[in-house]
Amino acid sequence: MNKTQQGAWIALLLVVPIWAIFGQLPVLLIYIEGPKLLHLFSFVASTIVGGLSWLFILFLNVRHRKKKKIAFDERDKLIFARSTLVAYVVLWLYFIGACVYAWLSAYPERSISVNLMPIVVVEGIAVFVFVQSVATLIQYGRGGKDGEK
Amino acid sequence: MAKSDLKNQIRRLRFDNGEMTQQQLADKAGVTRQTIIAIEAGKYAPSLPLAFRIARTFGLPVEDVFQYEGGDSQSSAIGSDA
Repeated sequence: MNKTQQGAWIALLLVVPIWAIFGQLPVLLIYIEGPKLLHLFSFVASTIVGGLSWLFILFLNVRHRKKKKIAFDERDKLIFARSTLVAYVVLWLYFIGACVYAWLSAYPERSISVNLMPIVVVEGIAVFVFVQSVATLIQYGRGGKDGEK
Repeated sequence: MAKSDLKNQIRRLRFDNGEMTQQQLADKAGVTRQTIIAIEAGKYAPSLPLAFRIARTFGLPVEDVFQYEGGDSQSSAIGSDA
């Protein structure tokens, strides 16, 4: 398993759930406690995910440098580019869907709280990372098996 | 990655060259072992520089390592002009 694949698995199994959980919790808390805890959770989520990402990138780089193996080549670059493209397309669809859903659910008498916008953004990042990771793993799965000699 | 129209002799050449492992070839060509596996299986078409690097590893011209087996409409059109 190379660096890109490891990164995709870590993102899928760790970063996305943490991001999604900390993105969902404020929704519940807003309705229970009011919007005062939203900023606290946004800060905690950003710190955890941001900190973890850097730690994992550092860990993977050090590990691969110790092995002195090539960890990223032209095929990895192509897979990464395709996954990112797919993730951007899905992200746009998500944003359009979220906006249309919010509009349809509030129109014509009610209004939407602006406090919900950061949640849409946070969930959007989770969607992006999730789709990118899945697309990466699918492409590697179809590209070749590790056990082959 | 879709199957490419590019056939190759990498597996045979590896064994002809003292049973070279995929990892050894990958190190010499400057790519990961997974890329060599994908190229061997015909699931990834390498870039031109990489194809040349792999061919050079075996000390052969690139056409002895890779063969294009796609449609030949372009080549026949050129051939008909001549």
